[in-house]
Amino acid sequence: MGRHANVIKIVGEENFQKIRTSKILLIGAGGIGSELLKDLILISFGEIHLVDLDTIDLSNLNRQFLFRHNDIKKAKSDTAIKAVSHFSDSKLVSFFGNIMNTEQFPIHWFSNYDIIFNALDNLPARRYVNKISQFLGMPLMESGTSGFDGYIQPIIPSLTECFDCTKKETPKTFPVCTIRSTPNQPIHCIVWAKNFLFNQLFTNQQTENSDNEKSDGSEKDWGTTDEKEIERIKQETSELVDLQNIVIENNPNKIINILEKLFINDIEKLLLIENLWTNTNLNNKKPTPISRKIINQMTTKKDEQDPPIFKQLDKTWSIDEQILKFIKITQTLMNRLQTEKSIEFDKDDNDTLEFVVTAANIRSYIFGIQMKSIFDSKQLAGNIIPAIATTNAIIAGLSSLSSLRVLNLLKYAELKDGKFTDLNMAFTSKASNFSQDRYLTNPKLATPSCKCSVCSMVVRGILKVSTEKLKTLKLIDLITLLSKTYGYTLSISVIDTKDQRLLADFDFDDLYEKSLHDLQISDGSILFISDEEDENDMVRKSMELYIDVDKDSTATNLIELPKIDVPLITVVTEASKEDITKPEITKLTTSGDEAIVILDDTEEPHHVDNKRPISESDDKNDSVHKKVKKVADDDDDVIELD
Amino acid sequence: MEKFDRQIRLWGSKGQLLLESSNICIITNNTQTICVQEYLKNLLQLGINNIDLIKVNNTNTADDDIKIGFFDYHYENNKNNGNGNSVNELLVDNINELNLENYNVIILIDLIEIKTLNFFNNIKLNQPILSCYSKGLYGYLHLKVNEPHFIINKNLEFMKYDLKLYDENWLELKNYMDSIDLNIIELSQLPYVIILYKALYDLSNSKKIELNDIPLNQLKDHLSKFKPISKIVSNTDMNYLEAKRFAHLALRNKTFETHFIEQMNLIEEINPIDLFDPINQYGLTIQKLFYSYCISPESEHDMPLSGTLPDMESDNRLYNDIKTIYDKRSKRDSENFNNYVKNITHEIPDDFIDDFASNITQTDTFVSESNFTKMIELNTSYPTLILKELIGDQYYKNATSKVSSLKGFNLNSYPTTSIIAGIVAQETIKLITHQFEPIDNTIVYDGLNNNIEIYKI
Ligand SMILES: [Zn+2]
Repeated sequence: MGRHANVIKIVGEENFQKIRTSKILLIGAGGIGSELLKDLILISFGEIHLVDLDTIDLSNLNRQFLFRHNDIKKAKSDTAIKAVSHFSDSKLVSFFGNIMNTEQFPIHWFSNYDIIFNALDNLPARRYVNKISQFLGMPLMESGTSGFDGYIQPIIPSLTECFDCTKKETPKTFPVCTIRSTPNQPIHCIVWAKNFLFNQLFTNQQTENSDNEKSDGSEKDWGTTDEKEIERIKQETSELVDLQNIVIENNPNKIINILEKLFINDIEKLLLIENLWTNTNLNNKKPTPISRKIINQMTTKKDEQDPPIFKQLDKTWSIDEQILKFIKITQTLMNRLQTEKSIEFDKDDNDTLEFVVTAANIRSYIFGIQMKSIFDSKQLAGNIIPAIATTNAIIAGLSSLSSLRVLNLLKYAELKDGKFTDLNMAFTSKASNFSQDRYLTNPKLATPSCKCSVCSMVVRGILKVSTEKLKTLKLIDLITLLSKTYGYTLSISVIDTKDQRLLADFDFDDLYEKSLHDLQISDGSILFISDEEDENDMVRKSMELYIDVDKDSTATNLIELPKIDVPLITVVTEASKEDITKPEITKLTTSGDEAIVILDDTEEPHHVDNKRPISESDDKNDSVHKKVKKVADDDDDVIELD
Repeated sequence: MEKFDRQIRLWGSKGQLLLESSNICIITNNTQTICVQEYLKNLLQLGINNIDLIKVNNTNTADDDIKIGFFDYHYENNKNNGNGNSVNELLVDNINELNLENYNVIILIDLIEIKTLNFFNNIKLNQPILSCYSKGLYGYLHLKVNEPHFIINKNLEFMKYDLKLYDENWLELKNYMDSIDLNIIELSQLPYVIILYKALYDLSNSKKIELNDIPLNQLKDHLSKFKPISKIVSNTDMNYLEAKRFAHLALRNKTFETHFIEQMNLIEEINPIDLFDPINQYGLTIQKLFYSYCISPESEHDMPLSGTLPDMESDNRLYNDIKTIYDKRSKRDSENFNNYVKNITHEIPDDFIDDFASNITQTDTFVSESNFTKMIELNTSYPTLILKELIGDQYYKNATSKVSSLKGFNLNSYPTTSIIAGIVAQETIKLITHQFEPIDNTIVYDGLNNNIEIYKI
């Protein structure tokens, strides 16, 4: 076959055999994933396994070229594999599921592969896979795009920087009182409508969770110390139960009560808290309640036909139209609730989107904030990142080509002595600026950052254990074993990183006699081990231990500790110690009535500080400024976590 | 609309409409190569539906040993529209037979034969010509634009605001500013536009300098000394810091005016009113608008207000008051401009004119009358070696042996071609939407180091 002959030309006969026996794990079948799948097949990799948890949506079709109209709602991974089979001579396998699900994808499953390609769209999954790659010492090709911008980063554990070596921007948060009492930007009103109002009315959840405490028991960040205001917020929440009842009752004649409560009564109560409006340091703008007259007027129109403007999603509607739409859409959602029981906000579910946008706009109007069109609001509410086919094609091409060098398969460019820092990462530049920006910057890979809590501050290993042994192995047995094998003292502290649960400590030995099974340690648990410093200010490096339960083994005594060295190091500074004691596990912040309101999707563009040496061939372009590159995730689809 | 949602967020529904109604011509000598397939895939995904794929028979085949049918555009054709194909395959015996005037952009893929390159060098076409080729781990892309290409760039990260504080004839602004008494107002709530205004006029009066001639450093200096402000606003107040940072907005932007006059001169040379080109409607419309602007009395003294008031630290009421004044002016300027345009032509829709007037500081023009074959006359640098290797051996028969020692040359790399085709499609978007600055004018890609160099030839 001509294709093989060509690949052989690139890599040589011997390396070609390596390619044919390579097993690739490709995570994500979206924009970059579709392109990567095609590129990897055409390189002739032996096996390509594709994981995705999503189904196909209409808005995917502008860039995910393997999908057709008929495929909408089907699983992405399976559909993609079927679409490429006619030109593939690689073995292709698809998985439908969340890559962070340790039951479906335990660590020994990952260990079957030679290299991982990330084509993901969200930060938690990226960090999770990065960590897995660190546990296994497996190379990872990381990538992402946002509009015209994109990046690739090859990650070779312990030799080059990991994904978390550079700080990533975390999602924006807002204090409660900004959202609930003193909004001043459109996004504040959207967060109120989406995370607070919509959830309370339509999403079936335990509404009685205390307003005072966060789930971890710490005090809530109200963003204010004003007792009156806190009191009002709590009262407002409890009154929402009444509104919930209206919704459940499905009584369209009472929608007017919802409007009156949200947009008149609550605002009037807010105005009574004088501190909010008189304190000039706060600089808050007084809200004006909606007039009863408009509400009544619009209520009488609710059964009339839609005005044509409701079809114009890119126009900003008038306040009257917002209220009318709010009434109509609330009615629609109330009807749906009868059969669906609980409705989740979904930016692609137009009913939920229109409810959130109109509620947010009415609130904006009240607070003198600019109202937004459905189109613009959708971007804010759904945290949508623009995406185009061309950038994905470029990035996937860069990623697949670089992987040949990571796997050291290019006979023309062999890496001497595994010097992976000779490789480049790549950022494509913003195309929209007038300044003659570089099209692509390609800094050399850096060595791991010594401050990184994922790859440098801890050693990592996998503890293999049989199901039976897990039941009999006491915590103190494990501690003794760790101490004997790695030189830890017996007063190490052990934390289950899943919920930050302290299991043992120099003055906490209550659980010593419990078995790991009793302590709810199971397959996929990660234990964080840290030691006390000795009299010379030296300390044994901390460890993260991945519990890999061999379910097939019937052995009663199977336990295999990782073969790693744990060095003694000088005591770390206070600041970095903090990083250690709070190991970074993938924590999911829930939205809703929590202390800090978080834009739920972690798809915020994150920044990568691009300050690495630029490769030699750059000498000519010294004058080009090295700026902070903004890079971001591929597309908009949300990964749900449990 | 929903299908293209993620890209409309980059170039708006106007940009999308331009893409969907554009006519693209691809000229190649082998329609089955990776590069052609990849490029077609990219175009069809963007929603581009009118593509002529022209195979020129008498040219040499560059690279036809790979035929991979990964993308079935015949299938796409049936799916996209029931009434005809998106991709029309045509065969011509000679490039001279081609009628190229009906296309928005012309793309040459894998055409590296000297005769062909010379043909496209000498051809007089208004449309941009993109040419690309890749071999092994290397590839290039070249853009030739004979006529000025116009851009209204609304996608700049930083809008170029013009506060027009120096405009003494703007009575509404003057009256409002005069009504603000610095002695009774809460100064920490003052938006910087007021601080700048007060400092600017105080400086002009006290030093007897024309408003138009005040240098930036003197204004900044004055901001720190200017008593009524510095007395009450502390040096760390956000609004005061903003005033210093944005002091340049208070002054006339002379660099921009010069740049604008340059653009206008380009227009006068070609006098677009005489031209009529049904294909390149959009580009011509912008040309007409520029032309209208050149001959309008507006251009004698001042540009229309571009956009409106930027966001700033401020009390809500003060900010809204001033914003209302700016919005009014912006509307009035747009209306005036609209009237000038109407004097010349009635073909241009109102929203188009408004768009142009309110983004006038964001416009730019672009010409690249390069001689394509000059590419290989460059010397020394590594990417030039690549270029010479890619197309140059026809000129330098002996050079081949020297440069083919380049690593990774005599092989085919699928990803490299995919990257080049992606970049060509990216540039096609820029040219059709008129919203982004295209490449000026040659890209050389080196897949070994993931390196891209840009040259102007
Ligand atoms: Zn790291």
